[in-house]
Amino acid sequence: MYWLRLTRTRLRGLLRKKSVEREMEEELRFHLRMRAEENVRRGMTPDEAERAALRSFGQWARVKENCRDFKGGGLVEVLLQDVKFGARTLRKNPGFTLVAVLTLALGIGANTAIFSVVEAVLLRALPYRDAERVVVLWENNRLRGRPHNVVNQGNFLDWRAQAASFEGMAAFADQRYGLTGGGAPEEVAAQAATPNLFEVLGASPLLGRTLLPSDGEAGREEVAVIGYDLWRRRFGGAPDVVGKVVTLDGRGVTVVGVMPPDFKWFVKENSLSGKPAEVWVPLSLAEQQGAARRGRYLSAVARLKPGVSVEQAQVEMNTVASRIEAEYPDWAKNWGVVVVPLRDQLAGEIRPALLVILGAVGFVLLIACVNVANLLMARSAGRRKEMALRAALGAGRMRIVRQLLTESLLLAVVGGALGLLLSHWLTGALVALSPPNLIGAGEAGVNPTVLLFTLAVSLLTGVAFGVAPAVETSRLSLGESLKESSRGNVGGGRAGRVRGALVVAEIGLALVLLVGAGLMVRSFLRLQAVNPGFDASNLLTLRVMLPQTKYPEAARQIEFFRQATARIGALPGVHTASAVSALPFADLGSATSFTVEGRPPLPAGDKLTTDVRVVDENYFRAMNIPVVAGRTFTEREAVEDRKVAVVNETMARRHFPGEDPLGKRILVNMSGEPTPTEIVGVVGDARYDKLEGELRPMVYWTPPRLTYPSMTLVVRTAGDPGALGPAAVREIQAVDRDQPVSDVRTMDSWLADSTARTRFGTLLLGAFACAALLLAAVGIYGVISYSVAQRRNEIGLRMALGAQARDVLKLVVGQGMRLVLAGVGLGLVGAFALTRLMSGLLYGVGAADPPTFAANALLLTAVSLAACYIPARRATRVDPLTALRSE
Amino acid sequence: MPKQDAKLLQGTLDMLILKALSLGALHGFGVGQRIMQMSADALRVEEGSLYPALYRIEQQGWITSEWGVSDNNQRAKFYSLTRAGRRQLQVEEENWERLAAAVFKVMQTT
Repeated sequence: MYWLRLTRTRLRGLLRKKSVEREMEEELRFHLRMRAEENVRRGMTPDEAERAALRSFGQWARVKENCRDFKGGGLVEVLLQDVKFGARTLRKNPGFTLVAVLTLALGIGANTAIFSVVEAVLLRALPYRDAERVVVLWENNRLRGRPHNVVNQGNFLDWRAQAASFEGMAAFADQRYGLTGGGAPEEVAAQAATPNLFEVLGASPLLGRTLLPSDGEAGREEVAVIGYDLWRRRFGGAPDVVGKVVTLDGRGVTVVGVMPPDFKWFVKENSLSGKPAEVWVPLSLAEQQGAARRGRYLSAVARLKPGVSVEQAQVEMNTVASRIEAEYPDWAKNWGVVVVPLRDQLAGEIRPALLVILGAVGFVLLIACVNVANLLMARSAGRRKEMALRAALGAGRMRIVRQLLTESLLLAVVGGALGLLLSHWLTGALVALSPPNLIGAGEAGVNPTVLLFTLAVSLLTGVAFGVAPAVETSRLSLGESLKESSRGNVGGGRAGRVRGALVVAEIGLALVLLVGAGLMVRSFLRLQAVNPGFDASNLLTLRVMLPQTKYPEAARQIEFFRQATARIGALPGVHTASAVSALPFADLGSATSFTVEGRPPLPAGDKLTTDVRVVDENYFRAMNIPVVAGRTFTEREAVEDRKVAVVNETMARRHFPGEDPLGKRILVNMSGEPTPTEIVGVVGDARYDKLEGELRPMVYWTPPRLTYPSMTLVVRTAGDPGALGPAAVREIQAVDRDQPVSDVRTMDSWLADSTARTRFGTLLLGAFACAALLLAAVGIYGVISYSVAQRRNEIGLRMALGAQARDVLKLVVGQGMRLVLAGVGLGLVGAFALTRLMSGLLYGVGAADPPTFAANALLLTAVSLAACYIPARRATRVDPLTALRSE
Repeated sequence: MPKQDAKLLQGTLDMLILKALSLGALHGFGVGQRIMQMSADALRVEEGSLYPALYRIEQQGWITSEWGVSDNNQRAKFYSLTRAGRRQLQVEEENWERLAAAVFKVMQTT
């Protein structure tokens, strides 16, 4: 009851302030009149009576103030008063306010933008039912140190049969299909999946149904589920698409269902298509039982039973794996299983980079806070008299602190609002710059979580930069303000020391950022300098996947590619046209084990491994891969299996040390029983996977030895390769007009994609480091300028007593540099402690790289020196006479 | 000012106001006059304390206010006791009597 009444009174006091005040006024006036009448009755003149009445009423204003305590809006009103007063103060100092708000907006905006990406990529709920129970499983190749290897179907079936931790386990393999009929031929990313995939993910269709266990059995009609985007793009979103027959790789397939728009099931790692699937077809593992322990190509996903942890599942899978290892030593020796939570799988690669960037941007905000705190301190010195006056008028210390904090919070909130606006653009830029595999980044944007983050950051920021100046000012106002007055003494006493400490912190923070960015730049340059082993310029690539139904025989597939490369090779502006089974930095190639003829067999699980690529006779010339020994393939070898192979230098060096590999015969476990192939040539090492990491042995074959229906054409051109794209596609479709062609791009762009992650991190950290450097320079400039202004009299006195300009310069710069060097020292220690956290992002440079540390320390010192020098120059121009006269 | 004192004074003033209003509705000036009258001019309530006290008591729900016309035909705000106020007055009177008796006993002891 009491609280209800109180709330009503307070609300009335807030909302109907005028009428409440008027009533109070009227009541008190009535009282005064009555008192005056009484006085008249006692024999006073009306004039005297009124004065006496007023006197007896005590301090009229105080009474009203006291009454207001009960009638007014209470604390809220005081707060509103503070806000109003704060706003007025800030408006009166537009320069200060603008600089502070912009600094904060920059800091908060950058933080919000990065956080919204982090939220979208790392924090947002995955669009699957109980997504935290979904895990991805890989085979762990302990020998080659590949913990995320694709899975063998026999092993998968054993896992599924033996493991009790899971509600369900599904396998899938990404592929590409040519989609023809009803529009231009198109290559679509597809996924062959065990029908329970949708059940394991907990996804339901938008239209029709998902796959049934019976789908994919021999003799049943072929079916497919399609994705939302494909449905809209290719079928205009028509609801009657369910039941329609489409042509996939030349086969008629019935569409049975459409998935909703948020179903974007995609595991980039080990994906053969490299793109989110838009078509799902049933994968029947039973059919392939015969070849159960041959080759690995599956990915696996499973749903944990409720209450089973990832660790428990991992423990169980370890026993399952060792059982398989014991049962098939030849096949599974040194192979284990890893269970990866879906979230880690999807964000795995980018998480460290994002967290480092989030940390960096936090540093920028801290530096921004320090700068604003410094601004506030400088200003508060000017407000000392105002504070002293308010203290004298009875404002308590808490009251003054509260007022100053309100001002800080007001600044922070305005800065935050502006920052939110800024983050909108920044997020767009981030998404545009982000590497293509940053899953979910496209959905980054302002949402309630991000908004809450921004608000929290703004308020925290306000307190962070506001509290020191507020306490400092209120303290001064009660004690030293009169003593210190406006006469500057050396260093400004305690306030000066606090400001100095802030500058030291700021310099330190900036150095940590600079070192981090420096390390990234050095890594990036190292990466750029890596020789890929081929010449990526002036290369056009086109991917062609022949449908098996239309080109069932290897001979016809070979014939198609020979015709296509011949036609493209004849185009004006083309030097060489060739074909390769898996393009460097674009496709996932094959790798397998091999033996050298005549050598004793190695123990199980200790086999030699090599990558395998199938190329035509023009490939090495098109790619500019040098021939080191022997020869490359002849035209005849490219159409007829002559049992020859070309190997790379690493193969020659590692497996034929001190011997001539030419003429040696190797047996590669690829398709069917391995037949010996003779090494006829050695070519230079070319990188296929990524620029970093060790080189691997490679065996090149020609198509008749191992025929792939999917090849990428590599075309060396005289001029801009991109311009030749349409003409090359026309030539391919002149061979077969229904043949889709995809990934018509330049080799340079593939290479750029492979370094996108490093470039992204470098760019961002670089930008933040520049911002930090700038802010730190502004910070130290501000402090030194202020101190020079404060010390004008002292400097004037020194000059009057004979100090030279040089001495003054030394005095001022020395004061600044002491702070800078302390900051640099702290920053070096901080950087040493923190950069090791980013060692996973670095290439070819240690986290404690001395040149990077030294160079950035020097850079920061130099910039700070310049920032000190400008105000110091100004100090030397102090006219001793004017300075002394103003004493 | 020690808090304890303020509380005692405040409580006492509240009780006096309630007692003054127990005889009928009064405006603020009237409350002061009535207390003076009843104490035979011994207690003079400072206006600076009177009005805050009135507002506070109103907040407690012990009195209500209403605009009306005074004896000399002027608009004035009249306060009257609520039922809760009457109960409160009784409680305070008992407390006061106990306290007064206790103090009296202490002072009687020689």
